[in-house]
Amino acid sequence: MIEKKDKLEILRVGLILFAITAVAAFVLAFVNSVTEPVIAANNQKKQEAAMKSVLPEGTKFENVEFTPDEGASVSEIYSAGDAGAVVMVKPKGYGGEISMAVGIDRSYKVTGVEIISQSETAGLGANCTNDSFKEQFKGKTENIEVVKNGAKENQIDAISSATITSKAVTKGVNEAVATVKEMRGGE
Amino acid sequence: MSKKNSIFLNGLVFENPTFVQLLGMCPTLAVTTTLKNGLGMGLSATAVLIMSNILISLLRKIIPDKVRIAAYIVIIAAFVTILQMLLQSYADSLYASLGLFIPLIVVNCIILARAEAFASKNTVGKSAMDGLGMGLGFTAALCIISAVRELLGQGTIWGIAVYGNVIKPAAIIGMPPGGFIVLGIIIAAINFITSKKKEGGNE
Repeated sequence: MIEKKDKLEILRVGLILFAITAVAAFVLAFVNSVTEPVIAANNQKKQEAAMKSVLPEGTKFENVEFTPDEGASVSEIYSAGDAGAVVMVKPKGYGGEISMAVGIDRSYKVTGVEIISQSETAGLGANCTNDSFKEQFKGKTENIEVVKNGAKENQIDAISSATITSKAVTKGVNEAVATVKEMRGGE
Repeated sequence: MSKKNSIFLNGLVFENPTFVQLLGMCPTLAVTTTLKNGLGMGLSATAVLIMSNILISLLRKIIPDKVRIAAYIVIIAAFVTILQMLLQSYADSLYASLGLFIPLIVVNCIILARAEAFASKNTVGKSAMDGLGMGLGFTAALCIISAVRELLGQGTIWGIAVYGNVIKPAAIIGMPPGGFIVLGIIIAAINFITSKKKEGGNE
């Protein structure tokens, strides 16, 4: 049998805990309402900047409806009319998803690659964000191969000791080009 | 030396949470790959530590003993979430660098330990001081470790190349094994210095 004073104690403890969590929830809801639009605007700006940087010729970017293939990592496609298209693709890297934007012109050549977010190893795979790596993709077209050294036509050099990351980024680029080509029924 | 100053120095040096108390090892090893990340994480954790110490100290007579851990976690988690939302809104690049480790501040042993060992038993002023001292002690430790790891593992400091292509950096330093090795050597060095001082004092 629970004594009266124990019942009161349980109630008191419960109420205090409830009060603390209620205040916390209220404060969090308030801060969220203030920051949510700022965060959304930030993300929008980042995405637009990324798209412009990979497809400099593009001015207006329109989201295109499409059904992704099974297991494909293409998440969004933005058409920029005659300038080409920007594809958002998220291949699986060494440490998780690598979110990237790939600019493709109308002759299915890559105009630019931008890494939006990645969690690869610092000092190794994380160097995929370096210009020296990303620039390699410019001008190449579908089915780019990754080699250790001395890349030739339609090949790129892998980052030393970061083969998995290099291959993942390349896979993302290849999928992007292939998807756009397929959508345009392309030549 | 006033009481408040000694509390501060205690957190910064004598009971340094990383090198002496060995608390918060998980984020320490994970985040100290670059100096910028180490500093960012340290300052973020310090902000949360001071706020949570103050609030828990204010509520110390109200929070029932039976549910104190649950209450502390709610308070700490709320502060970390607020910090995360603010960082994401106004300091985007820092948010991107710290990424997963911001939520990890919630279970950073240092914050829970100080809530339990200090803030729940001391006045607000002293608790705030303790938060500041411990937080800056943590930050200093992170900065030292990340400076070493960035310099040896990537050849840069704060992103600026120091010795570039002359010597190839040892990439393993930037990976978990390197983290343990660097941390171990630094703690060994500190223990060596402090034990020498003790010997000197005993003469």
